[in-house]
Amino acid sequence: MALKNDRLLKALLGQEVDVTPVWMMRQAGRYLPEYRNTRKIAGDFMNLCRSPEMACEVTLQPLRRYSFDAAILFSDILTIPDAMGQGLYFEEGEGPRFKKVIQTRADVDSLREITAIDDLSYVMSAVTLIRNELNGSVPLIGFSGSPWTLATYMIEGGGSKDFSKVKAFMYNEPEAMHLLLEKLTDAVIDYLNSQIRAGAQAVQIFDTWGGVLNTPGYFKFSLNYMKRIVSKLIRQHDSRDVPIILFTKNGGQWLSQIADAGAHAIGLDWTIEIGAAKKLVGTKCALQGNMDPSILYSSPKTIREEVDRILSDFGKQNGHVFNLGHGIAPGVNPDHVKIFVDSVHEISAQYHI
Amino acid sequence: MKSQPSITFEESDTLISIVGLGSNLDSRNGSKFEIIRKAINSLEELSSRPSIISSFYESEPEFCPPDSPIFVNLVAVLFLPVNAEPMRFFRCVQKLEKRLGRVRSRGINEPRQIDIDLLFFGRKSISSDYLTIPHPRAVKRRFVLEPLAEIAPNLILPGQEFSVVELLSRLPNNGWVRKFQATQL
Repeated sequence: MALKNDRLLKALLGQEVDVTPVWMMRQAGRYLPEYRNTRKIAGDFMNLCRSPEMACEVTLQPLRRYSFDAAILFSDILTIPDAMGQGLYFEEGEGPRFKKVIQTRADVDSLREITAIDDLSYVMSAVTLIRNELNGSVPLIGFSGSPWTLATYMIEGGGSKDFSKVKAFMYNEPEAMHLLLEKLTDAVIDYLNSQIRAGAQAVQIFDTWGGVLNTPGYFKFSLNYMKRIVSKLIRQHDSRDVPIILFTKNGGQWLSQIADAGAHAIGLDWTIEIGAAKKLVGTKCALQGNMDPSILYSSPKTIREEVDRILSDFGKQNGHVFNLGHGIAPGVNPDHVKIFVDSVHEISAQYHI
Repeated sequence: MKSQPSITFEESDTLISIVGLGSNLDSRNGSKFEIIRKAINSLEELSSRPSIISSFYESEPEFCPPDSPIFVNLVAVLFLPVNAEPMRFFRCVQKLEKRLGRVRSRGINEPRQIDIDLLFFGRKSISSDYLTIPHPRAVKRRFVLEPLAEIAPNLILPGQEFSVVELLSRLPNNGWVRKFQATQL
């Protein structure tokens, strides 16, 4: 079936569009009452991820309210470590936790090798169901956590404030750390390619914790592996290019190196001005971002002004996908999201004549 | 004639899946009949209540290389848990084919030990590189519709207007399919 709205894919490839496409990280999330309702029916957060029907339902919920230009697969970034045998669970209000934590080289050695279509079949089923339900209205984005980010959770055993365990492991056992990252890299390649075969039309790699590293550490332990993933991903599927987006939170200082990783687009958080990012990256990559998610707490007028400011800072050029600099917060008024999305479409038209 | 249990896609606690099995090559795992029986036994394990299985049918090889052996076919209706997952089921089926000696590297429509087609998976409609459901040719094949008409003549398949027997009567008259007589075994 033909894609009716391909703005996102075009913009990610630096091609001309009529208005700037927009989607939001965590657009299927707790700010929506219908999401909270489905989440309640599912009981556990992982049940929601593991049920292709429910994952499909929550993926589509924001698209029924807003004119987003893309759907993003609803899942968790930690499905891979879970499938490798780490035992992912969610503690109410505490975020993700692992039953097994990586502490030694032996723990890395004993990780289960996984095949995405078997061990993460629920994700592939969800991708295919969503793609079918979308019926060509907008493209579907697949995603994975970056190897470094996954390793961070696997070693810390969950979220962290100071990343002391993962950093100690990385400095004390660099070989074991690289082995872990290699295993994760192979798994991410297979995972993303399987998502593409199952129906994902673009993919994003979330490097949520790349920004906690120092510069040599980021290149060696994070960017290097993302680069390897990018080089192994399916570039064309169903005779269309499959754009790849790399998003390193707090990665603004490494944009020119990220631009050389071979991906089509770079996701930006809100700490760098998009105009400045444009100067660093040039036309090598499209840019995605980068409104501070907290702006959505403010008045409709402020939201419009901020959208306007970002659009004008990017200027009259191709290669911009509007997004937040990070996931939308649970407390945001859903009406403000409509103002945000519609503002992007309305105001951006003048930049695409 | 034994009474037909009625099959419907509308049950709330069960997902109906229809699979078509075929073989036109004996192997070290047994004759064509034995291989299909083994496959059915394994598939039965996935069904939450006894599956409904057609008789064996023989069919003329269609779109196959010249002198291809005659096929043995049957169709089965499985009752899966309502939350059954299409990709997982598909991979189970693929692994079962492999276990029963299916070699996939051959040319198109070469003789095969076992072929298990996922024809329907509830009312789901699915399309990816991995699988397409409903099977795009399911309602065009006599070797699917003949056996299915035996076990579910009045069933209206997802996406169809007519019942199975009506679809069968509308098929162009090519490729023979005949019920296998048990005495021949």
